Amino acid sequence: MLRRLTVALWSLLLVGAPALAQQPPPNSGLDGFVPAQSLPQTEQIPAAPLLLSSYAFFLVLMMFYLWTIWRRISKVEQEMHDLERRQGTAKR
Amino acid sequence: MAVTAGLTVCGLASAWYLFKGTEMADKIGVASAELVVVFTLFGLVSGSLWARKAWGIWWDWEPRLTMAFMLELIFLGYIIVRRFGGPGSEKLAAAMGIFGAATGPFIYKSVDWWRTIHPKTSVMRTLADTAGGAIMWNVVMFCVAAFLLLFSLLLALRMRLEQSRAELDRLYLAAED
Repeated sequence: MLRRLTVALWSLLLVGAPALAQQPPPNSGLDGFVPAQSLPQTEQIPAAPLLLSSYAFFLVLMMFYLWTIWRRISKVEQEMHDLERRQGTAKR
Repeated sequence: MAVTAGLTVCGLASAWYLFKGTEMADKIGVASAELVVVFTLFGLVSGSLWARKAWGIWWDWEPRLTMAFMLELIFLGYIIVRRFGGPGSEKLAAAMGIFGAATGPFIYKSVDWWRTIHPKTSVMRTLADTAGGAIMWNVVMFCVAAFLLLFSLLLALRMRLEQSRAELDRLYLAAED
């Protein structure tokens, strides 16, 4: 148990070492929150279609995922009922 | 946030299963791994839409996005191993779950370590101090709570499927006896 934990810890450290060894690069990019309204007019793209697309994608994804779970549960439950019925028939 | 929750739950459950062999941990691991795939996919797509607005581009192979994409592939691999790996694939998948979860902190810190166009993690810390940031902070907190609740509900639902499958296996074994 202890040996396994040690191996796992060493593996994690070895995986992380290259990342930690990187030199900190010069500070570029955004360091803080910038409200979209403060951006220059030329850099502004209409947000509404993108926002609506994001909501739409999320709703479709959730509905699809829930449908897959419902379908899988129904399939398993159907199989359970079939098995119980077969067992009942065999006993008679 | 839901991905972080999924990674944490999957990593802990996978370690629990690998070292203790508890069946419940395996069920939690597989359920949370699937949720990591779903929420990472949403993060990649919505992030791309956000990037279009914020950066003017749909995608950039910068460290945060690339690592998030890799995370999606790792957990898709987890599901494929579980689906087609045959007997014993649970342990292999659990190892993948642990290493997949270990990428979480690297993905989070990647924006600080490798500076590109992606905002740093300090965005969240300084959010409340900026103009309009106090409202945004409340929105963020609301979304964190909502997504954690959604994650919990989906995890419970997905666990029900795993329990039904275990019950079916038990019935088949009983029928064979």
